This record gives sequence, structure tokens and C-alpha cells, in this order.
Amino acid sequence: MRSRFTTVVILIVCLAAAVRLPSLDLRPFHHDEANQAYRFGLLLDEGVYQYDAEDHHGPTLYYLTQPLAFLVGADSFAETSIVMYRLVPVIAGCVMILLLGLLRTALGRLGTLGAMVLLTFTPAFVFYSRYYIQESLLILFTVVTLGAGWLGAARRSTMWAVICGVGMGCMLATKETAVLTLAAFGLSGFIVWVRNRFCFQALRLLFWAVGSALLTTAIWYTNAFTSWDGLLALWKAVGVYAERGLGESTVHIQPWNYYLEMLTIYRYEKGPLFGEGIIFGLGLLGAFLSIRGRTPTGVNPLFHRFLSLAALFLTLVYSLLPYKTPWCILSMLFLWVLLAGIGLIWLLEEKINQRWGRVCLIVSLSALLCWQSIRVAFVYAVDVANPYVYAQTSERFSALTDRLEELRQASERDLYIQVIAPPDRLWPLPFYLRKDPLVGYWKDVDTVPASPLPDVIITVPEWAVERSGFRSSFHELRPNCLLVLQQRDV
Amino acid sequence: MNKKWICGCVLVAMAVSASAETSKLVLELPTPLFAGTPKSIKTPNLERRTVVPEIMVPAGTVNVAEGMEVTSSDDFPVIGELEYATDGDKDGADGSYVELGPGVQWLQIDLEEPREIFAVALWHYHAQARAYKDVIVQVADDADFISNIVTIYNNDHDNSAGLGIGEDKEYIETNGGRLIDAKGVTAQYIRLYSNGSSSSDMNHYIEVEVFGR
Repeated sequence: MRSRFTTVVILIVCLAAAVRLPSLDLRPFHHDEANQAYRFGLLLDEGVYQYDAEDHHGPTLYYLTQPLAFLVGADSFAETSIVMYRLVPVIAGCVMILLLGLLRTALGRLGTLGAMVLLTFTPAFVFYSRYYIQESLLILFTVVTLGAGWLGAARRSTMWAVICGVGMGCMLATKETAVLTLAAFGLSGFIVWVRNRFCFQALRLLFWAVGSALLTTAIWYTNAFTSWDGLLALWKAVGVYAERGLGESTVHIQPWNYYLEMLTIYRYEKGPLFGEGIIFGLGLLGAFLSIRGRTPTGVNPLFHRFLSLAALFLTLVYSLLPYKTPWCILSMLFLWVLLAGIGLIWLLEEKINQRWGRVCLIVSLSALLCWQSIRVAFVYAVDVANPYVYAQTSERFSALTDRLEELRQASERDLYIQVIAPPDRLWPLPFYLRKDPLVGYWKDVDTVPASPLPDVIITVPEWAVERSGFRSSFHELRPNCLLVLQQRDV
Repeated sequence: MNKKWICGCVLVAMAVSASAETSKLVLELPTPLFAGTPKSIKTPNLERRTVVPEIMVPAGTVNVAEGMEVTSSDDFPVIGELEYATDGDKDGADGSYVELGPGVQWLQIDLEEPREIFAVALWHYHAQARAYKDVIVQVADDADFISNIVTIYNNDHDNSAGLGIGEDKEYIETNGGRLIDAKGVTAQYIRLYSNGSSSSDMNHYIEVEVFGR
């Protein structure tokens, strides 16, 4: 029985890889992905990492990219590629499915397999498992925290409590929004604990978990106790992110129902329909069953209640906070996927008697979700109608990079390139110019030296003064944002 | 942390030895500044992907608008001259475009005789990324647009220009302009409307080309 379970799990993970791996360079690098890649480049080239309290989140993404760079033989930033970077979230996306096995005694064998299948094909997870940002890693560590936390509580195991703490520490060292997930877990756990099993044994385990979480966080942010500035920056980041979350000093203000639209049905203009309605619908069913005390066979009722509370709390908190970006949906959606697994098992057990009917339901659901995932991750990967596409670099940006490549080929020496643009309007250029040794970046026109004369100037239209001896062409960086490429006549 | 990456001036370090031998010029260039996630812009009615229509035209098709008389709802343009719209200059710089007043304005070209029109190419402004609102292109037999009016492009999704709701999409202006399929309609006058842009209430035209015979 156990080997059959293992076989099915391996099959599911292979399916997850098959959906996530193809054409990883289909979509041009996003502004944020290029920022992250550049920071990794600094770590690779100079061995430097320093936490930035203002942006770019914790260190795990960069350090966990290092083994992959080693495996593909990339010794410098110039030798890295989009595919290499995006393999990191792909691997995280597959491993998180595998590690759902930690919840086997909480969700039951079938519930776990159901959740694994749903997570494999959930469109948002497929999309962001191909996106070089922190989100996939954050969910991976959330799975570790949840799975180890469950095992620690269920088995009264100090070892699992420590592993749970390590998971929490890694979550905090991945992205600051981990605080919200941990708060939802803490509150839900507290409610379930007080109502059911209040005992001092649990306090001991909690001590171990929190202690190892603090230690893990400190190790990550101090570069293994070599630089204490990271902890001070983390302290500063508390204020920065609290302010941002409440809608101060940010452009990412969205209405309260922003995530709810994505969780149900999303449509931009007259574009195609998107949304996680199937997962959310099944998840709501799972939560409803918890409220009614109708937990399916094999699922632990306490864990079921905990999960429902955490999903509701997290969805509520994210909806109430004015700051919203689409990738943040993964934290709450992950919990809804687990609940959807429970809802699916209940449907199969209680409502469908025939075996062929059960098979039909699972196959149809998987096919439908797979189709949605393919649309989201491939067909509409750069389309603004896609709810997960956000400030995406335009497909037509390749015209600029292609032109640069032509100029490189035509030139007998390295091109001297001046990039004159505000920082929010130049990324992902630094990634695409990573192989050019003579590139300079200026954030205003006044400080640009008059000589030596550059071969190429890339700037924004309002700074593209007419330069004699240069020819200009306009290129779309992203919607409503143009760049001008000025090439010197030979 | 960011301060470490603040761009400075280029430091040109030239190591010149005492014996005045030449040495390689080494440029120390400023590194890029990091920036947070930019704002995602989704304008109502904005096209999701630019599709340039492939228009087949018969032999003998030329730009019949070049050098033709241009009139406008704004007789006294704020910047430039109406003639700029048909002078063959598609440059995006100052001196190449005419700026009409705010709100709904039109610009009209007299083709001097009824022409079979296959395509219209239009450049509003391309020195900055912006989308013009209520871009409507109509052709007619008379200068007052009373008889035989045919609308060949309309992206006024909310009828704010008062000429009816159009199915076409707004688009971001680039040096590629906008190519419109006129499907061989016959007319002597062509009128182009707009209602400001995503950047300002003013209306701009760099060039209008009418391909016909």
C-alpha cells in the first residue's frame, strides 16, 4: 500500500515538472526577476549579499540559486541564463508537492494525494513556479512548517518541532509576508489548542519551534553570523513593510476584492475568463465541512479545523490590507488547495458511488485545471488579461535586445553602452546587458560624461535629446513605458 | 544599501607612467540602481497585443494625402501647423507635430477628388508612451461630412466623443503608428478625431498617410 502511495506521488511530481518545465524562457524577464538575478549575480561574482530593508526580500532565493549555478557551470553573472534562474522556482514548485507527504496523517492518504494533484495543476502555482521571485520558495517553506508542525504536535516530537522552527525561519528569511502566514497559523493553532488540547507538553514543543525559528532566521540574515548588519536591517524592515502593507509609500494599492476576483472568476475587459474558482469552490466546501463537523475519513478533525481557520484568517487579512500584488495570492491559495483536497475527498466518498464516476471526476478536474494552467503559463503568459501578469516586460522588448545583438555582431570591439533612465524604468536591461563589459547606468542626464562618445545610448523618450550622429528607435519596455535606443552612426 | 549603488560620474582612470608610455583606458562605470516592483498599468479598452494588419493593395496605390490641404476643428493650433500632418515628416521630435486644443478635436484632409482608399496610417505622437482617447477615423464625400459617411476606425468605447461606440481598441503610440484597413472605400475627405490622451487633454498629429488611388 505504501509503495503504491509512493509511486503515485512520484507520478504526480513528474506531472508537475512536465507542466512547469517547458519553454522557461518564453516570457521575457520581468523587472523584479531581473532585480533578483542581478542581486544573485553580485553574490556569484563578488561573494556579497547584504539584506536590503527597502526591497527584494530575504536571502534564501540567492543562496539556493548557487547550487544550481554550480550544476550548470555558470561561474559568473554573465554566464547565467533565464532558464537557469527559473529552474529554481520550478524545483521549489515540485518539491513542495512532494513534501505535502508530510501531511499524510493529517489529510489522510487520499486527501494528501488529492491536494497534490490540485497543487500540481493550480494555475497560479504553475505560473509562479516559472517566475524567479521568492513566492515559490515561500510556499515550499510553508509546507515544511505546516508538515513538521503537524508531526511535532501529533507525535509530541521535539525533532519535528525543531524542523518546524527551521521551516518558519526559512519562511522569514524568504519574504517578509511570511509574518502574515505565521500569524494566521499561530492564531488558528491557538484557537484549536485552547478549545481542544491545552497542555504544557505543547508549550515545550512551541519553545523548541520558536527557538529554532529565531536561530534559523538569525543564521540567514547574518550570513551565518558573519555580518550583524542584516539583523539591524531586518528590524528596520518591520517598519518599512508595515507602512507599505497599510498602503503608505506604495503604488500597489488595490481594492479589497482584488484577490477574491482571482479566487473566483477574473476577466479583464472582454478578454478570456481566468480564476481559481474550481480550487476555491472545493476549498470552501472543505471549510464548510469543518464547520459542520463532517470531516471525511482519514482527515484529522483538529487539523481540518486549523486549516479552515488559517485559510479564512489569511484571506481576510490579505483582502483588508490595501497593498496587493498578484503573487501574494499564493500564500492563501495554498491553504485553499489543501482544503480543496479535503472537499474533493468528501465528494468522492459521499456523493459519487461508482468507481468510474470518481475516476471521471478526478480526470475531468485535472484536465480542466491543466488547461487553465497552460493558458495562464503559456498562451497568455505576457497578456495583460492574465490576472497574474503584472507590469510584465513586453514581448516586443525583444526587438531592442535583438537590435543590440546585431550591433554587437557588427562591432569589432566591445560596445560602450550608456543607459540613462530612472531606476524604475530600466529593468530588466541590466540582466540583458550582463555580457557587455562596458555598460554604465545613470539615473539622470546631468551626470552623464560627454566623452568618450558611447556606441549606444538607451534612455527614456523625454531624455532622448536629438544627438547628432545618432539614430533613434523606440521600443516598448512594458505597457505605457517606452525606451529609446540611440545608436551611433559608424 | 542602495547608496552603495548610487550612480556617480564616470571615473576615467588613465594610468600614465612617468615615461609617458600609452596605456589602456579603463572606464569605471556606474552600476544600476535597484527599484521596487513598478506599477501595473491596465487602461480600459487598451489593446492587449498590437496586431499590425496585413493589407493587400492593388498596383498603383500611393499616399494620396501627401501635401494635401488640411483643415481642423481648431483653426489655430497651439503648436505647429496643420500642414505638418501631410508633409511626409514622421519624426517624433518638436517641430514635426501639430498640437490641437483640448477635448474632442478633428483634423480633416481633402484628397481633392474621390479616391479608392485601402489603408490609413496615422502617427499622433511617439516621443512618449501614451494612448489617445476616442480615435475615430471617418471618410465622406463632402467636406461637412453629411453624405456617405463611413467610419473605418473607432475606439471610443463609452461614446464620449458622441459619434457612437466603437469596437476598436486603444493603443500605445510608438513610432510604428497605427495602420488602419479602409477596405477600398471611396471618398474625397477623411476626418480623424481624438479626445486627448492618457498624458494630457491636448491632441497631436505628426503624420497621416492615406493609401489609395
